[in-house]
Amino acid sequence: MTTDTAVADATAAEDGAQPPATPSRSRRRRRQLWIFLAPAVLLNLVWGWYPLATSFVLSFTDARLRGDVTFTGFESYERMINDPLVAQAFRVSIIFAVLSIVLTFVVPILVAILLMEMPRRTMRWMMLLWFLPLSSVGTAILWRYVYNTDYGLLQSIATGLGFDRQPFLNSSDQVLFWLVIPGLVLYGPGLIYLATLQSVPTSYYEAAEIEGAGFWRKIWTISLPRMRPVILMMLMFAVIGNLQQFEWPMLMTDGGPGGASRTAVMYVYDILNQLRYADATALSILLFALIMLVVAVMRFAIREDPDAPPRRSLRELVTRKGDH
Amino acid sequence: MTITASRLTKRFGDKAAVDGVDFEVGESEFFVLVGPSGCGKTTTLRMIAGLESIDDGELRMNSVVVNETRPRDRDIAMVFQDYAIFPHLSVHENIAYGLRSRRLASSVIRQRVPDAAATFRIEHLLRRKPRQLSGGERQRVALARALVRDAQAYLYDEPLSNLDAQLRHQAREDILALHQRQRKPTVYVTHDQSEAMSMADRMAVMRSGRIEQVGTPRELYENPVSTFVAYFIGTPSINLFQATLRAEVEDVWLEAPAFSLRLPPSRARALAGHVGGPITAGIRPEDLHPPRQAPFEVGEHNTMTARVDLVEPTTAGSTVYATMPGPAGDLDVAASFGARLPDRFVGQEVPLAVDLEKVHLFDAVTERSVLVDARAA
Repeated sequence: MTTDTAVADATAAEDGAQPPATPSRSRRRRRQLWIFLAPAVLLNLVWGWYPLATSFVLSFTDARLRGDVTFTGFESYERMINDPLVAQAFRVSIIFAVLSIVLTFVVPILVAILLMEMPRRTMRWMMLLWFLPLSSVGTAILWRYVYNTDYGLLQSIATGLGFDRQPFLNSSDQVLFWLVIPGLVLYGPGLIYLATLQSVPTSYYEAAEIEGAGFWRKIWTISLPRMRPVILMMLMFAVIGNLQQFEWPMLMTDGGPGGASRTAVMYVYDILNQLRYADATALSILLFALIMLVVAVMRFAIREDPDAPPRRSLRELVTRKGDH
Repeated sequence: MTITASRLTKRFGDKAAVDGVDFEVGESEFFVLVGPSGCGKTTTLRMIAGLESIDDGELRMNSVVVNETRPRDRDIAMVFQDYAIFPHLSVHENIAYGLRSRRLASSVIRQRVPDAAATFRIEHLLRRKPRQLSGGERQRVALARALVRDAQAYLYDEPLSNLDAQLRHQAREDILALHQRQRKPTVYVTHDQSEAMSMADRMAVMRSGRIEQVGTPRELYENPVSTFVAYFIGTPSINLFQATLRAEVEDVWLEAPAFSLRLPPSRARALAGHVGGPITAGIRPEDLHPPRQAPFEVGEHNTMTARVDLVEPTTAGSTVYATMPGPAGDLDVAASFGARLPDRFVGQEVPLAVDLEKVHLFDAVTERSVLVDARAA
């Protein structure tokens, strides 16, 4: 079908005065729809849904590299749940996620708010400096040197300030803390917050100024509420991403010392290297379930839309006291 | 309180958006800044609010210079064109915003917010979010927020431009009611001259960063200092004609291709230097009458003839759009009649009696009024 006839069709559908499309024409249009959708659907099926479904099936078998595959029910799940290393890995992942969100999540938000206060020109320069797309792997490798206990930058600072020599990544108590710290200099999400802030009408701030609001009140009553949906979305991504953390511990500590930084995904990777496919997929599915649970709770507990009318309590719904 | 602006100037780059503006807003005066878009009226208002820095000149409130005073310390209330009510706060919290900023006791807030809301008939909406309100209701929230604080001055930036005609009328009354109640100096910006005419105690017509004329609506209507003010004020707009002045014995005649009018002695006296030369004559549609209904003697000396193109009924009578021959093609003429002109006159030549006492005369080159300047001198 040429563009011209497509346009003609569209106008015909709009003014409604034309006779309705014949069945053959609507079938043709549906076929057209599928042709356009096919590449995306196909890619998703092959690389997304098929592996997911396969893993799910595999997790209920005794699949190995070779040999027959037999259905074993929840055997691998049982094995995984009873594996003390799994419990440790999940704990590491959860602590890593909590630490990383507590210590680093707010930073890009502050950076964005700070940048908005700067003159336009300065802001452009600062954006260039701060939102440079840093390689996550490169950052990890760099920080491995910073943390080096013999010649690392941090060690010389610590001893220079008169502290004892610090173990950093070699301490099983401290390792997760130090692993999270490099996240402080990744301001990438700040760009998203900045874009959000720039879309807030300036008249809101002007009205607030005239109404007597100072700097902090403007941030608290305008900037943050306007950013809320984006902050919550980013928080969701941060939770999902951090629970699946792999590369930083892998690159900086390889899970050490003694598994103190071995995350859930790293353990999946270890098991896969032992060619225990069923166990690895079972563990992945467990992690997947945990993440889904957390996300579901977050979605339920936190209201994203700041402009929506307040939720009515059950009692109000029953007694119809709300003014709607 | 009074607001005094002297030589107020704002530059954007090397262009002056506001170029040395002078005016004074008296105690409890409703002052309107009006002009076409880009004339600097909103920038002027924003300088008063403190939202725009002042590049030159002085702004005084109660004779204290406030050029450098922060907006929140000027104790003013402002209603924005887009209302600028916060979508994430309930109506109650929007109205209470300024009170909370100033840390008023919550018992006071609980009392004053419903009061202000009741003034604008939104007391039943206090718990709603702005999204659940209509445009008119949103604007009343903005008005209530301005009222609740008892500010020292009120500023309005085209507050009616986002409302439909019906609501606009209601909102106009609400704003005037608020003003009646507070009796505080008010600066109101609009591009709509009829809004300005009906609301202002005094008004300033602005044009490319300067004030063209300040005065009461009546003064501006009756004695415009320039063709710009004359044309900007009044609907339909004033009819402007190019003409020459011819002296004949004791009289001065206004000569145009399609008409000759004998100017009354009161006007003629002011014209001494212009006789024999070109002049721009302005005749308001209201000052053209059907000869039989004219409230003055009608004769050869004060009648012109035009061919009726269109008769538009109005509430009072009709607006007649006609044409008459001009130096280069036909000239359009509008006339507002107090009575209905029957449609059968369309296409016909009709005589129009001119109220000569109300003819405006402007210098053909400078476009300044010949009459008003002479009077001022």
